[in-house]
Amino acid sequence: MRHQIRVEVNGKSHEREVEARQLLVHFLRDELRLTGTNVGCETSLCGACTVWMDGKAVKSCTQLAVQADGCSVTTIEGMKQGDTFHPVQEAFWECHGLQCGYCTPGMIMAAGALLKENPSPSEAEIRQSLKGNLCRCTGYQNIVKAIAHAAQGGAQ
Amino acid sequence: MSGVLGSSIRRREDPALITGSGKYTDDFTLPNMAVAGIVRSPYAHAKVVGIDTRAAAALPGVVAVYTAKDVEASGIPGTIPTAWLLPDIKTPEHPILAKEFVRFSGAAVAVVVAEDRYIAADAMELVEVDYEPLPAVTDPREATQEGAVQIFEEAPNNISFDWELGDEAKAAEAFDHAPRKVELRLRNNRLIPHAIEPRAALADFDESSGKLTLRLTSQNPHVHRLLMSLASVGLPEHKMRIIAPEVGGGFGSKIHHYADEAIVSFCSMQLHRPVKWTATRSETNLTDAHGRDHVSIAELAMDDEGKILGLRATTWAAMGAYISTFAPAVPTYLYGTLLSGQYDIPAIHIHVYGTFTTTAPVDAYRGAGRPEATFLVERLVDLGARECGLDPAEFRRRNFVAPDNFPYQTQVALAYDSGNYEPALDLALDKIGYADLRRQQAERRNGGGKLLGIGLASYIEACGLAPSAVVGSLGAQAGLWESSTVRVHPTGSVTVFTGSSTQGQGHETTFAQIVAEKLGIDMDQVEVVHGDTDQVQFGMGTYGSRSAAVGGSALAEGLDKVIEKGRKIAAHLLEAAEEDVVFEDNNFSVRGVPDSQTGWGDVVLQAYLAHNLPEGIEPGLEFTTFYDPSNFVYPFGTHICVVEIDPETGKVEIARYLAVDDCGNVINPMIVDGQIHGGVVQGIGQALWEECVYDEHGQLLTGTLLDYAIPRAHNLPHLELDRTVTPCPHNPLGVKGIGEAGSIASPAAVTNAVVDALSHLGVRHLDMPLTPEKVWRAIQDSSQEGRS
Amino acid sequence: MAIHQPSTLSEACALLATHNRGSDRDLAPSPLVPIAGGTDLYTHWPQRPDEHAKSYLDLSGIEELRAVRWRNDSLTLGALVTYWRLIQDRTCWSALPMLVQAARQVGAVQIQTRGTWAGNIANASPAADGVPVMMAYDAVVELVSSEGREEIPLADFYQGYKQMRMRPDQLIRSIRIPRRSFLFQRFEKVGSRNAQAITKVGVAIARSGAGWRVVANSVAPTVCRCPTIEALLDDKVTVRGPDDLATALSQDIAPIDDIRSTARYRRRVLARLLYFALRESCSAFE
Repeated sequence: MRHQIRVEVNGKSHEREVEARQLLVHFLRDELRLTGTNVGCETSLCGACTVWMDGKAVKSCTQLAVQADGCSVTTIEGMKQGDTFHPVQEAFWECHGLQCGYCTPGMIMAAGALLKENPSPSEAEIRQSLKGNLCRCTGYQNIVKAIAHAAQGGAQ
Repeated sequence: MSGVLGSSIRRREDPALITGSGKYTDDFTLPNMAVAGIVRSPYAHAKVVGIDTRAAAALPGVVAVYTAKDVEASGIPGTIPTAWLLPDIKTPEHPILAKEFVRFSGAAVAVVVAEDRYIAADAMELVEVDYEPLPAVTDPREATQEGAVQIFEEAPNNISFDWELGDEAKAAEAFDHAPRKVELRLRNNRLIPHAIEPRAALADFDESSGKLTLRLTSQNPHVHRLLMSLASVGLPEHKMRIIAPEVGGGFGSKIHHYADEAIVSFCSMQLHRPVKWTATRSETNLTDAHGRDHVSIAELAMDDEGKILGLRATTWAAMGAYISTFAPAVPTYLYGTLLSGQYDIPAIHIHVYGTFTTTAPVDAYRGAGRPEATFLVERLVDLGARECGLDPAEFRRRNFVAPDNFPYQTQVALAYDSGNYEPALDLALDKIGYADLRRQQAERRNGGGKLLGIGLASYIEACGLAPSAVVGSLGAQAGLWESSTVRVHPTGSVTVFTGSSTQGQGHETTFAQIVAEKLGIDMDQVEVVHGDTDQVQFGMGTYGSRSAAVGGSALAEGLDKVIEKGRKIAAHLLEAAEEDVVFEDNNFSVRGVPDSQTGWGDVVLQAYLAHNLPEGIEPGLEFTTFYDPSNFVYPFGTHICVVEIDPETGKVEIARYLAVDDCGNVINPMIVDGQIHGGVVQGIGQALWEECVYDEHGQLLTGTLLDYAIPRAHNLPHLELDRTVTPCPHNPLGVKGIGEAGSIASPAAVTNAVVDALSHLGVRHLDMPLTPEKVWRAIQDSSQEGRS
Repeated sequence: MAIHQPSTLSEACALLATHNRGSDRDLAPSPLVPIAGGTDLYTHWPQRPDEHAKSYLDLSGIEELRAVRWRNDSLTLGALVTYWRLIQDRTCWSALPMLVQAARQVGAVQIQTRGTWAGNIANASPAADGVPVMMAYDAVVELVSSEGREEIPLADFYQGYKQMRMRPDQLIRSIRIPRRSFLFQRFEKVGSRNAQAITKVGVAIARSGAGWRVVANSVAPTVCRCPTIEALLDDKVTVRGPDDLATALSQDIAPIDDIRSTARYRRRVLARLLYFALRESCSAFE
């Protein structure tokens, strides 16, 4: 069974006919070719596929595309405004908050959501906020540092 | 730019990666591309009686379904080779798709090619395989015992190899006369690497040219091409191009040649269209080569003053169902040779059995053999200290190889080129406040509440693999040099091509730093190309903490050749003697004649114009270098872990973790620190949470991230780092490896800390992972013993 | 796969009446599986063609199910209320704090924003994190169908492993939780990690005018109250140590061995968790 959906992604409206069983992450990657959102597991544990849906961080592997009908989605590709990185992106670069980069889009989306809720989190709060995002390269130390750095820089 | 080397320059890789524009293998979609799904054995060990693919093939949207019969009919070799052989090793045939038997849960049995991933999943369910289940064996020691199921006829008792190193008689004599001895029986827990990017392969066979292009999650695309050409796919190397695009972590798991990339290549060659396969997490957990999985019995002999007299051990190392690419090297030359640790040990003997088990293959995983060796040595050293009534720090100090004793020939083949172990230990003790912690520990033991434990690990690592003649004599079927091409363009900018291939280590930045420093040009003038067999000369790839030490050295030597040729041209242009021309700050000048100089750009341009070159000098400015190191490099250090344990639940919290490492000269401190963070945390994961578990039927019980607990941000401490600098004496940059050091030291440091916290209860040893239940049980058992 | 996306509750009930009613469920054309957040369903999703063959009723478009209603004597959660919603609700922090504590234990933020309280009940996992606190608060489940509504106390809702007192044509419409003044309340959990480990052992304890409530997860085929322990607390029986509780507990729970833990550890840890949690507030605890 196919469904017509309209989803706004990174400010641009997309109308597509999708299969009912298609996950949102596959809609983003396969249909819209927005491959910045990565898939690292299928048990909604790794967080690599984190995007914002109506402003809230969700795992795009834990959601059908049809359920995003009428919603607004922001992916990592929508974070940079013109030539200006989002403060969290800038901080990840500055603080070496990434190595292989695979978990990074999900990390940045999770961190951005945290800072919207809590603009000046403690180290413990930052670490807690990342419990749904796995990184195997950095030991998280510089990710935590980057988020604190972005917070101090007045991230919105 | 001088001063670039040694600076924490932010990475040039990152703008693509933080915006989602970096492209990993699965991010590529080619025109007319199909998707492959690999049907895998649900049994650990079974006879394949029959496969019926008709229903799957008939499903709309399915392009093809293949089994071993189709591979055989195609005439490709279709096997997975082993690239490191030991004397008398058994390496039974490993077909890319199972023929008569399956020997681990997850073994590839058939492949479905479909128009999209969902149809492929539907079709995989329709492939009917008739299995006759056989018994499984999953423990590396039990596999060798009487009554264990025989996995291969040609390997009696499931032994692939039986390997020894050191002098058995000398060790026996040391033990016969030693007044003090300790024995340790341990299991080094099996691990699943868990790079966050699952493995993937995208094969595109072009019918008209007969050339295969394969995008692959690879740490070493040239090695993959070589092995695939020789044993699995069978195309000549010039008709294969392997590209490792962005690679989302490897940690060893993307070194090896797996059946999957050969299977998709086969599909593409059959169908003449691009075929992509991307593992699910569950699939990658079933089939990635796992790490560790040793069972060992080890002993340490000492005199009454706490001087070590001898060490001996027997280890049963799981190889899994087949002998993976570099698997035989891991529990032998990367393990047995490290058993002297940082210590002057007069007699050592190690005996290793590499055994078949009905599990996924085991191969190199971050540290590869060296964490296992360090764990065994450092656990023994802690037990030895206790036996001698000495503080573990003091015991280590008494046994360190003395600084004036280098180069030091160990009893297990390695000759340490350099080292200075006491300063690293002292720095660590001082920074952690060791004496004060010991006082607190004593107070806590009297006062109740949480238990405090302090654990040390003084590790040595042999990395920067490696002198080719040496590894050749040890069984490597390849040289382990590294290559570089330095191409100076007519306008003075530079492209370098390195055989090292990055999965997040930051080569594009650090290698550009080397170029900028040596040539005195801006980093923006440097491009670093890697990971593409059509662009880069043959290279060996990234593993064994070798990129800076071997790849960096190849680059440094190549740059020296460029400068050398530049000096010749400059001397000719300046009408000076070549030996009088010096290259400094991007300028060639005549020593003592300040006005007589010519810029880099002029010399480079002249090299290409070739209007006025000295006699015997070819036009152009480009050199390819193959650098073969004269020895391994030997990073070392001391890590200290402080734990607090809740006796009510057994929960271990790491209160502090301090790493003091010596990796020689540092190219980019920020990147080096990042490598240490990541390595330490992987080792903490091994120590506290991670364990790959198979049940008695060979079913993987920890196949998802729900059951296999990799570290998360909120259960880790802020790591404290420091370093000493003892440059490597034999490579041009004085650098040593740092990619694996953290994961080598931390399992031992954490375990020593936990056992230390419980030592007053009589606990001598606990096997990793130190889960709350295991720790709680140890506390319960010891208090019950105390009561009875 | 088919998915129905009604925008009103009556539409949803009508669909369930058509698809899910009948004396023999197997004869129904294709029973609809209701989904709210779907956080459990989508695990391993692309590799589960059996699930793709089913038909689903996506409730997420039914606005009336999103309401959180505070009254003087109760809190009513619509079936689509997420964990995140209550984590953000300051009233909940003070009035029913265990809900917030449990919500924080459910996965990570990205799951908290999707997962619902009603889904946690309907998924019927013995390891559910949200159910013990709701049960300890005496929550009542409101079911609806095209035939009317029905209320069942959560403590009576489970009849066995994944067995619920709920017909296939019924939906959870809301969960009502009485507001009381509590003398004591505590939610404790031991897992190999704090979050994203399926619970090893968890316990919710509440004491109000209605008496003691002790609810445990992962120690029986369903999340369950521990009546022997509750009686022991109500009767102020002297407890000298965790072993005394372990004896009583063995009448209330039936833990199993599995990959995550052994029965022995679960029983002992639960006894210790209870003992040390209660010692602070019970004079009968030595």
